[in-house]
Amino acid sequence: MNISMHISDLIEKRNETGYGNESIAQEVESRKQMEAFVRDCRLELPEEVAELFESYTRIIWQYQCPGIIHKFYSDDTICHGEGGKKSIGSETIVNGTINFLRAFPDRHVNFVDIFVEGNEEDGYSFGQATRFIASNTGFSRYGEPTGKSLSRDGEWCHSICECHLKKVKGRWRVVEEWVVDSQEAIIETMTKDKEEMVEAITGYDQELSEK
Amino acid sequence: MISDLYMDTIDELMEAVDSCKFEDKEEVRTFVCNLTKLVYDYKMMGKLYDFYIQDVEYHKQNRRRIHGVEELVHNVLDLCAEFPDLKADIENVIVYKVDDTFYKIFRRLRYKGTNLGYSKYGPPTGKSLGDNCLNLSLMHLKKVEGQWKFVFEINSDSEGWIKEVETQ
Repeated sequence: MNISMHISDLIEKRNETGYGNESIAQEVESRKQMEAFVRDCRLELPEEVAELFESYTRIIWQYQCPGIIHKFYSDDTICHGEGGKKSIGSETIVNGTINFLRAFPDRHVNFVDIFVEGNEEDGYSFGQATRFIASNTGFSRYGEPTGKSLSRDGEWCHSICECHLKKVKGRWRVVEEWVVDSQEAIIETMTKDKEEMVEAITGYDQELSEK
Repeated sequence: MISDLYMDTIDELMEAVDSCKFEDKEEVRTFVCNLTKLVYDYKMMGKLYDFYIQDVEYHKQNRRRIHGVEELVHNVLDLCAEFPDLKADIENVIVYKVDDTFYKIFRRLRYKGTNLGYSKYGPPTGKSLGDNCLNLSLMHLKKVEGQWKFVFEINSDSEGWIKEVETQ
């Protein structure tokens, strides 16, 4: 599949060069090719689904187009997080993504892995792991940017998720998702000193206990 | 006797994991479920040495890395000591066969248990993890020198929730 092979090349190149090493024109060209792949992909094979969601994730995070979340996430998508946190609907996911992108605008998505089981008829399940490579250079709920990086001493913040994809009313939809990321490290990155971090994490823990 | 029931189950699970041929995805799925039960539910964490390479690349949440299989076993010991009634309820396992010597696995489970042991946050609180302790794992299982071993894993705990349960 030519387009598929081309997307793989693009992704490989992206992992090598990192965010910001391409010109805007190259960025736009890369994104458009991924958009075309996401638009035209038939999702007939597990391998196609893996490639599609890698491109889709990059369009959302790396190319900063969170609106495309609505393509595969619907009003009914259930997203489970740590500590029993649960959100419903694509709007919540879009808003969360925008806030993260605002705080970490240079975010580069480095894919560790994605693989898929299933078929066109019954739907697909997939597991995915990514590494966050970004710095807090934008405003967040914890205040002004700290400039701190999410990765430290060669160690990364990983995000790991499982998604169930099914055809709902003729459209492919993520019906349910489970995600656990590195909340404590993310909060630490967005807070200036230890005292502020303890306060922020206590607030986050409070949210968990009140859910 | 409960001990008899436990030991019979441990024997069955050990036989199942030790004799696994890893010939297809279903067999691998069953293997992962059995090994997880042995390690967490039946406290046979030492079995991890059989199925992880010594210098496994193992990443946890929040930039933490586990350096080798010994540290991995210590990590499981910590959790089991803090939650002596710990059970790992597996909800789903995705298996992808790369080739005859390589499987990729994604496991979703929830830890269930009560904080009845000391933790880094202090004395036991008696609080339960409830249904909230999601754990996700992405693993690479490869045939290394004729033996099936986990060579790579990313494993994320609900760290914030565990802290909440272990804090008075």
